[in-house]
Amino acid sequence: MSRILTILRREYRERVRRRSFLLGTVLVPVFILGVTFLPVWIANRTGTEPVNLYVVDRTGSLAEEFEASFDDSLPGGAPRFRFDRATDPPGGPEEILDDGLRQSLLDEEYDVFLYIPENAFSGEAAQLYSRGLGDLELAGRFRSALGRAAMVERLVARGIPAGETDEISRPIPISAFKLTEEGVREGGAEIDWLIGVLFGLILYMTILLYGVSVQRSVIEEKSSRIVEILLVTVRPFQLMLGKIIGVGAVGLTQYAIWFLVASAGSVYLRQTNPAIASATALPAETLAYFVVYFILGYFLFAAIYAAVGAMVSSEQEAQQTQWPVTILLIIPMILMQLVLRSPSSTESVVLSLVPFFAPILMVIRINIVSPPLWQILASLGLLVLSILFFTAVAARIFRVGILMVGKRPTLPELLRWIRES
Amino acid sequence: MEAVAVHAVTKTFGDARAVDGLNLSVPRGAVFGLLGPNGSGKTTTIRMILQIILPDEGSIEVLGAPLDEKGKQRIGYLPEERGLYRGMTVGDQLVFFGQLRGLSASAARDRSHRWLERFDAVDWFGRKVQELSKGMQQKVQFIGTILHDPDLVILDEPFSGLDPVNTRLLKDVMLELRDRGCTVIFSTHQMEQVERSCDSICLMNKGRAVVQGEVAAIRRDHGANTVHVEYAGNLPRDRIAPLTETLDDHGHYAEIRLRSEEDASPLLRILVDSVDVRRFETSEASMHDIFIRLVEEKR
Repeated sequence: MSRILTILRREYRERVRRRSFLLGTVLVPVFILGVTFLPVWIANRTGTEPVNLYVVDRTGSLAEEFEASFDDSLPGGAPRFRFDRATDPPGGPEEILDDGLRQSLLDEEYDVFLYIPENAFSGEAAQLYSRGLGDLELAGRFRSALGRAAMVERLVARGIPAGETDEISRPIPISAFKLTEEGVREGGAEIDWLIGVLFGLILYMTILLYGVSVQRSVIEEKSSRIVEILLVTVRPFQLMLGKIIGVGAVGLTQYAIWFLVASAGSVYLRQTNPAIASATALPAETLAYFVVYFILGYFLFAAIYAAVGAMVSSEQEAQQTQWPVTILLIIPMILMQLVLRSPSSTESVVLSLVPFFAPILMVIRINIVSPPLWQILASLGLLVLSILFFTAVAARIFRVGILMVGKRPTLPELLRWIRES
Repeated sequence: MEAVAVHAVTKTFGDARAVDGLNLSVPRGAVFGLLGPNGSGKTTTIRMILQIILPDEGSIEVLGAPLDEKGKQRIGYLPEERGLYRGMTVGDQLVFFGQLRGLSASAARDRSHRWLERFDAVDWFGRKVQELSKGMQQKVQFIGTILHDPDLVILDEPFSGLDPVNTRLLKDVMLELRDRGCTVIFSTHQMEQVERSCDSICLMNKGRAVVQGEVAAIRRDHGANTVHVEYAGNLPRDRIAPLTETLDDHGHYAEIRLRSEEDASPLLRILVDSVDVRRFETSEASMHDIFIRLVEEKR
């Protein structure tokens, strides 16, 4: 036991003291926040860009009502949308474009050209030209604004007074609540979704980072032959265990730091912006699951990465050998979309029970829906069983491989190592 | 009592028999040399003594009993291929090695300081290994081997890559350890080291012990029929051939093994006739000579 402790302590201290630990502690959240919030931020930022539209309305009645939907203003106070309504230029949209408008659009004099055909009311499509409507939200707004304009015009045509049309077409907002075992909590699915993705990403990155770190440490000892000195007093399994626990403790330290920073942030948020604070507040249970799944997921992958480290003689060889393991980590990242979209579907339930995927997928599901307890327990049980199995297999590979130099073992050789030792 | 006793040990890797029915007896408190050409099974033998790998057949006793956890702490081991944690400081590294062998952190630190002082390297304590030269690293590793004051020290090729100054330092420390009652086993193919420092040896070839025992006895057994000649001129190889068994000619120096001890005078007579003889000395065979002869006989 004291030997495992000595090994563990060395792994831990050497890592925590390194500059890369500090860097990782700072950079991982920055990176993850970047990946999650950058698209949102960019989407919001485009709201501050002015948009110039050139509108040709052959019906003669829709344009005005359409424009009424765009009364946003820029940060400076000037209106964001500027409309030029053409006084009946001849020809269809193509001819109008050819008549100099194409160049105006390409020169960024205009951003959008909207052509409303004469038969728009009877179903002919309006046409929208732009240099590229990157902003999906904007395209959606054009669509609904034109629909609303058509509705108002039709209501007026049926004799409803113009003053009442606004009243009739006013939408009803929806507030979303999340129902859990503990009760009801206000907050959009967006927040859960975001936190789900956030946790998934953190789990993916930390398991990968620390798993590979174990592998690297094995390779260092193997290639420098320190392992021979160690093996005089330490059994291979003790060495592997000490390493895995030591490196894992570094990961938990990092989690603790993140948790403290996040708690400090949420205390600050509660004082300045209670609404966001309550929407983003996480039940302690969710955090506990997050940590438990990290520990188990890390253990499973670290044992396998340790075995890979023992199989190879250099970092380069490791790069070529570790991919099947890394793919097992990437698959849940790809499947994440599926689980986020329908977290309670049969596929999602089954996938979140698979031991290699459970750490990421089950945590996402726990964030979005509250899966039945039996599913969580089943995934934990399966995970623990696979840890026992794969650690035993990895230990056998480790024991033989750690002293082997030279050629990487082939698959049949590997199986023999596992069987014979 | 013996420090290490190896009984009929065999180890096979795939089709290759690395060690083949080896018997070995290392007396306590001796400096013991394990000799042999590359691939003769020295390192495999050492690893089996240390239980890093287990023999297929046979048994091994270390310090009077089969090696257990307690026994392992009384051993110091320097592997053939050296390595240290490159990113760690010398001090942390030595303390780690010490702790692995049961020392407390503070005891390990004290002893590291003392040994670094002895090796004239006390200011390395806080430096990272990657900043040290290869020779310096080797010293650090040697200190790591003996830090816990072991009863048995096993050194695999300890002299390879050392300059003459450090070779002497290492040899001195080895003899010091012996004088304190520690048994030292080292493997080498540098025969001079064996002759000068070893009390006993085992010469291995192809996984077997070719010869073993006290150095003096082995040299005596192999006869005083070696002649060292320093000369100028052309050695009359044809004329002396009937008298010699082997001839190792270096141009101005030759080591000649005679067919019998009585051939020395006739050889001298022929040499005086044909070359300018500056030195003519009969002696026991050198370990080098014995080594080459025994290994070649087996081929």
